[in-house]
Order: sequence, then C-alpha cells, then structure tokens
Amino acid sequence: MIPIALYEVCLPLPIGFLLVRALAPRIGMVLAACLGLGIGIGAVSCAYFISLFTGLPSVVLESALVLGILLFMWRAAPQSPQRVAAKPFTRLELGLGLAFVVFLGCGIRGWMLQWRVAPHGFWDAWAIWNLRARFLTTDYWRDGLSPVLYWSHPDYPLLLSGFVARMWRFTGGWDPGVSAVTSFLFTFGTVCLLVASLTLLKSRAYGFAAGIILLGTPYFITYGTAQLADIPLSFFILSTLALLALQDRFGPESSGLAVLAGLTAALAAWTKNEGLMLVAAVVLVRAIVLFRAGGKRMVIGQGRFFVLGMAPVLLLIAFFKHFAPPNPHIGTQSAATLLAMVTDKSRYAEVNQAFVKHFFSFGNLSVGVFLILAVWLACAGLDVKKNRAAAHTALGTLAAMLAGYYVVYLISPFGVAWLVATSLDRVLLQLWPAVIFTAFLCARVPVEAWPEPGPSPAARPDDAEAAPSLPATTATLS
Amino acid sequence: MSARLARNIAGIAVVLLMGIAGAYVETRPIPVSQMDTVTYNETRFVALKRALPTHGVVGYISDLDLSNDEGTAAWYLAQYSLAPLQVYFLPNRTPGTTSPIFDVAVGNFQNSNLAAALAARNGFVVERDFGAGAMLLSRVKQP
Repeated sequence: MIPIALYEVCLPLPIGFLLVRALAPRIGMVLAACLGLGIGIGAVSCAYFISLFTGLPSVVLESALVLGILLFMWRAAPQSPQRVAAKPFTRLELGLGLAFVVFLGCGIRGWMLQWRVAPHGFWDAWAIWNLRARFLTTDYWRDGLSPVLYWSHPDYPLLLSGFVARMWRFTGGWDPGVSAVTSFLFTFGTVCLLVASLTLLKSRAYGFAAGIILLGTPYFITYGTAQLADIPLSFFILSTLALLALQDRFGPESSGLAVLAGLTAALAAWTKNEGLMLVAAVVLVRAIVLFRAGGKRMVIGQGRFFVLGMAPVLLLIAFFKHFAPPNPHIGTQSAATLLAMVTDKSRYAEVNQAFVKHFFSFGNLSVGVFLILAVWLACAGLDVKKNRAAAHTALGTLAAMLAGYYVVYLISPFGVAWLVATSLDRVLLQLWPAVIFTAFLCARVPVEAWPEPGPSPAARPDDAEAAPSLPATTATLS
Repeated sequence: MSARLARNIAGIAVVLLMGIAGAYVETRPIPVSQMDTVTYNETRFVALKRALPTHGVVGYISDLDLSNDEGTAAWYLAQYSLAPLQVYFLPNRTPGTTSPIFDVAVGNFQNSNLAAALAARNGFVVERDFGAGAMLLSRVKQP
C-alpha cells in the first residue's frame, strides 16, 4: 500500500516535469523542474476537479496524462540536444551564488519560524482555501460551493483547494502540514524559477541577485506561510512572462514554450480570479507586440500555440463558473451603479492615495521594496536590445494588470478603504516576482566590467549572448 | 575604477543590503503560544461534531457580535471545524430574506451564562453542553 500512496502523492512532480520537457526540451533541467512543480500541481488539481464530476479516480486520469505525455515524447522523438559544457563560475557569480544560498537558508528559517505561529495559515486560509479543500475531500463537496457559505467566496477557482483536497484524500485526514508544504513549495519554487529563468535569459549573477531581492522581501516570506493563493498566483504570472521571454529568445520555432505559457496563464486563472486579468492582459499585450514585430501573420502564427495551451484549462474554468455563485465585484451590480462609481471623483482620489501609499511601503522593510528595486535598476542601467519583445510583453502585461486592479478597486461594492487595507499589499505581492523579473530583464548585464582570473577573459562570450547555453541547431520544439 | 564598475558595485551592495535587512526581519524570534487559535477551536468542537449530522445545514448562535473580527472569526472557525456541515448564522442578517427553519443549531459562546437566553430568543434550548462554550441546541418542541 505504501508504494501506491507514494505514487499518488508524488505524481504531480513527474507530470509537470515531463510536460515541460516534452514541450520545451531546450530549457534545461533546473528550470524545467521549477516550472514542472507548478504545472504539475495545476494539472492534478484540474484532474481532481474532473474526477469529482465524473466519478473517475483522479489517479487514473493523472496516470493517463503521464502515459499521454510519454507517448508524445516518444512520437516526437526529439534529437537529444547537444550538451554544452557549463561555463565555469566567475568570481562575481560565485560570490552572489554563495550569498543566495545563505539568504535562501535565512528565508527557509524565517518561513519555519512564522509557520509555527500559524500552522493552519492566515485568516483567509481557513476561512476560504482550506475550508473549501475540506469540502472537496468529502462526498458532499458541492456543499462547499453553496450560497450558505457566501462569505467564503464560493466563486473562487479551485487550483489550491483542489490540490490540497487531493493530497488530503491520499494521505488521509486534514493534516495542516499538507497545505503548509504546498505553500512552501510555491514560495521557494517561485524563488528558484526567478533565479533559473534569469540565469538563462541574462546571467547567473543576475539570477542570483534577483533571487536575493525576492528572498529579502519579508512580506513574501510571511505570505509564503499564509497558505493563501497569492503566492501560487505570483508563480504562474512569473512563469507566463518567463516562458514568453524564453520563446522570444529561442525564436519562433520554439512553439512549445508558447503552449506552456498559455497553460501557465490559464492555471493562474484557475488559481485566483485575478488570474483572469493576467489572461486578458497577456493576450492583448502579446498580440500587440507580435503584430508590431510581424503583422497579422505572426499574431496568428504564434498566438495559436498560446491559445492551444490555454484552452483546456479555460474550458474547465468556464464549466466551474457556470455553476459557481457570481463574483460580488462584477456579477451583482447594475450598470447604473457601476457608472455612478466610475464617475465618482472621490473614489479615484481614495484609490490613488492608497496605491501611492502602498507603493512606498510595500514589502515590510523600512523602505519600500519597489524603491529599492528602482535604485538597483538605476545603478545597473537599462539595456533591452536582446530582449526587446520580451521586455515589452512583460512591462505591458504588468501595466495592464495594475490598471485592471485599479478598476476593480474603483467599482468594488465594498468600501474602498476596507478593501485596500485588506488586499492591496497582497495584490502587489502577486506581481512582485514578475516585477523583479522584468527589471532584471531590462537591466544591463554587468559582467564585462568585472575582471576575471584565468586566461583571456575577453575571449569569454558575454553572458547574455551565451545564456541559452543550448545550440540553436536543435529546433525540436515546433 | 570606471564609473560603470562603481555603479555595478553599488548595485550589488543594494542587493546584498536588501538581503541582509530582509533576513534580519524574517528570522527575528516570534513568541509562539502553546496552541494556535484554529487548533484550539478544532479541539473545542470535536465532541460537538460527533453529535451533529455529518452534512447539511444547521443553525449557529453565538453571543459574539459579527460587527467585530472576534465574532466573525468565531463563526468562520466553527464552520472550518464542522465542515462538511454548513453552519448558518442566526438570527438571519441578510435584508429581505428569511431564515430556514433548523431543528438543530450549534452554540458557540464566550460567556456560557448567556447561552440559555440567546438560544430561547431564537426558539432553541440547550440540549447538551460540551464545555468551553461549545453547545448543541435543539428547537423548542411546540406543544
């Protein structure tokens, strides 16, 4: 029995990893593992929800998914990419790498300290996410979406609750450790994803530096223990932008990366309603970026792969939303009420003031972490030559999402002051890893300024040039 | 030292300082109580849960006011502990709607002395007291 239980518990990891390797064999094992973690959790969460409806055991659906991916990998039979010897670490990379490991240790220690105080997570964890997960483990799971529990937001999507419920069902009982471990995986998975993606796109030094900035944000670690959906959402926002940046780097033939980006965007929407904002923003911005680069043909040529990745999960979300109660922000107000809100100047003033205040204080350090990042960017300087399309996609998506959040605050039926006080920092947290990613993507690589030991440092290619570290000859993604 | 190198060093200093400041804030010792609020409430409701139906909806009566976090948290924590049973706050507070009629209700009281009076006001009697303010209430039988 133990091997079967172990198989059931561990299944999300191979699902995600294999899916990433099948669609993007060129991105390397570490990044594939980071992306695979979230994608695997998302995939089994979807499978669990389908199993609740169909009555099929979720492990059967998941095993079928693994077989399907293996079959795809076998049929596609990509040439194994030529291995390129890893460049030795420079002094700067070594120093920042060691510092990253130390700060990672501190982050984990901080996580453990804060988790001991609230092993069941923060208020919303037991009032919303874990409460729903408890219902989903039982035969009465539909009661968890009942209007009687209106205050627990039954319209919220089910990635986190579904995954925790699945693990609870396999492990037996409602051990709070399960949801805590899930929170831990997403928290430090986001850190590793940031480091791995920037290492590939820019340089190891920048990967480690970005990781240190994220780990040095106390608010991120605190909410890493909260067992809420904000950090998982930040993981999927970062994944989507990183995958699109990698697609731009590897060229249009790397359509598998676009499929994965579509999938992670849809999984963001399966995590929280704010994820739907990501879907809308990234589709719009990406279409504009692609149109400017290559016209309608490029929009259709590359956009279809993104849509292909999104479609299955978006269909599932549409099915879920069909019978879930409406969202109180948008589903319950008349057009006249909405119009009155958007024409009320005092609401604008209130929201503007809140955004400015939280922008300068976000992060739980004495100085707002956005300011610290801005100072760092001023020191590093800007250079988007090699990542122009990716930088435009990331910046445009983040700006569109912020604008979307602004509108939600403006038209919320709840008091602006209360809503801002209880949510704006969490909303900024959702974007924070992607903001760091975008800043580093746009920054000038420092490497040539650093004298290195050994023969002919000038012969060493610029990190950004060498970053993909995989030959362009293995075009196995299309 | 070139200006570029100086700026690079300043950038790295910013990163490391932020890492150090963050690590300092994150790893400060935090006092931990013997039992967190959620676990404490779960323990309070264990015996009561056995006396309730396994699913469906039951009433919920409390002396804690919903206008503050304490009362709201008590209600939500009772719901969390008693899932997959749904607990319905009584008296009904949603304008324009009427409460369903429940035969059974959960009593969750900070001051147990108020239980009988509050239960009676909503048409219930205390059937069993499980201690620590957790009670099983049943509807008063009409003669």
